[in-house]
Amino acid sequence: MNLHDLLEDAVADVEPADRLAELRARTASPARAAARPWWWAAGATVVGTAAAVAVVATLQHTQESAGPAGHGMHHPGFLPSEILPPRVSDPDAEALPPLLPIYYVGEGGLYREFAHVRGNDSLLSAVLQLEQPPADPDYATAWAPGDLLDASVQHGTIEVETADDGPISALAAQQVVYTLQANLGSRVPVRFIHEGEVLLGPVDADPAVLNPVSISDPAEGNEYEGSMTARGRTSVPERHILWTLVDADETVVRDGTAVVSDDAGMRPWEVTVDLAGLEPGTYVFTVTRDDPGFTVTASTDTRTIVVR
Amino acid sequence: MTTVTDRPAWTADEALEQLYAAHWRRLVRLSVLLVRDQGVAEEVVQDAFVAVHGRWDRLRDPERALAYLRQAVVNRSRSALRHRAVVARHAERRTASLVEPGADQAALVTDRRAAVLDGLRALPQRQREVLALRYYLDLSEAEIADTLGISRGAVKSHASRGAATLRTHLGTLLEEEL
Repeated sequence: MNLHDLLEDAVADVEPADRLAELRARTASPARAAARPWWWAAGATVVGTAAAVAVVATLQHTQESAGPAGHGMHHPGFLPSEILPPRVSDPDAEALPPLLPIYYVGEGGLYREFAHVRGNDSLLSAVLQLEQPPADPDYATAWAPGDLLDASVQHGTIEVETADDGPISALAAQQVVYTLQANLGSRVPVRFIHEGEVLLGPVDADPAVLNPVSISDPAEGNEYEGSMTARGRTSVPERHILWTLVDADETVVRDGTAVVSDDAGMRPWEVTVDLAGLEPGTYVFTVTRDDPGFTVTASTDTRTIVVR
Repeated sequence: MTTVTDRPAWTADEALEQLYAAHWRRLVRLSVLLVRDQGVAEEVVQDAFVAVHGRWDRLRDPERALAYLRQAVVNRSRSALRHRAVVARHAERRTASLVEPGADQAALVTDRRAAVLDGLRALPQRQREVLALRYYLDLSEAEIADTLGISRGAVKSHASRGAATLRTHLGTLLEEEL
């Protein structure tokens, strides 16, 4: 017998009990009946409990252009720096591949995530990553695996090869434009090419499609100990935005405001959240436009984080 | 290409049922190879299923969910082994089973199975995990590396050392035509 057969045989007589009913009982929870039913409720709670608790809000005067192009991997200041390594890490584990900025479609426009993507060619890696689902379940992508074949800089534009010649929606095009400009670090327009023919373009970045409030850090699922620095950008006219940290029981455990720098266009915000004293577990960090009338929908972004 | 990708076809509850139907037995058996105790293995795998249910919003894909399940089962088996109770209970059971070494075919099969589990048990933890993932689940080196969070080179060296030690331990069993 070879090792495969011996191991197979060694447990061939193991017939586990049927535990499905027990599993159903353990996973049945009314709180999970709907995906994030408290999404807006969390934002509303902020207004009611405006007192900031243990928060250091700092003004970030980062030198940057109005658009998204100068962000991402080219600006280390915008990369998560205090993230703890993943739990599975091992001393002999290989280094993680670089973080690339990828734009996804969410309620109210485009949102940016950072994803670890393997590959030597950041433009190609980025378009292939666009075909993968985002980490944050609130977002989605307009592109399916196989839709985008290649991306490269040709004659002063970014050329993206598509697999078919179907129409490309404005938002799907902007996903590609913002993602590739961010990875290139330059606001070069994008042309969509199918079999040598120009399908669409050149397309420039349209600032109107960016969600007015967005979180760059933390990324979905990041783990923190002690404190967390959150960063993002906003185009709202107010000088500050609101944020909350909500625990699994939907209780607001921290909240406050983050000051927005007074540049024009998409402006950075940053806040350091003190996590000391919080029970280890999963929390949701939310930023919201300070708009008590809630006349503008979707001026919100959320991230799930883990406090160790 | 122009429509926004839909949400997962399965809800977390549906995913749980499907994953359970497809993988419950095999994952319990994997855990038995790691912890030896079936009761503990069932607890370990059940916890892993609860965890995957809770993360379904993020996993959303059966393949990713299975990869997560494998990882959870290996990690939780490792934690379970740290409980001395498991080791103690196992030692008692072994002593009991060795009292009557029967000579019929059934007893030989039982001995062979016990020898394999003992051989695995005697290995360093990483080697045992790599062998179970490689020879029982038939995972590739890359998949094992991902599951254990170690490099492919480490997988290779754990696999070759573990297999060599296990072969020595099992000796004639590997040569028998059964």
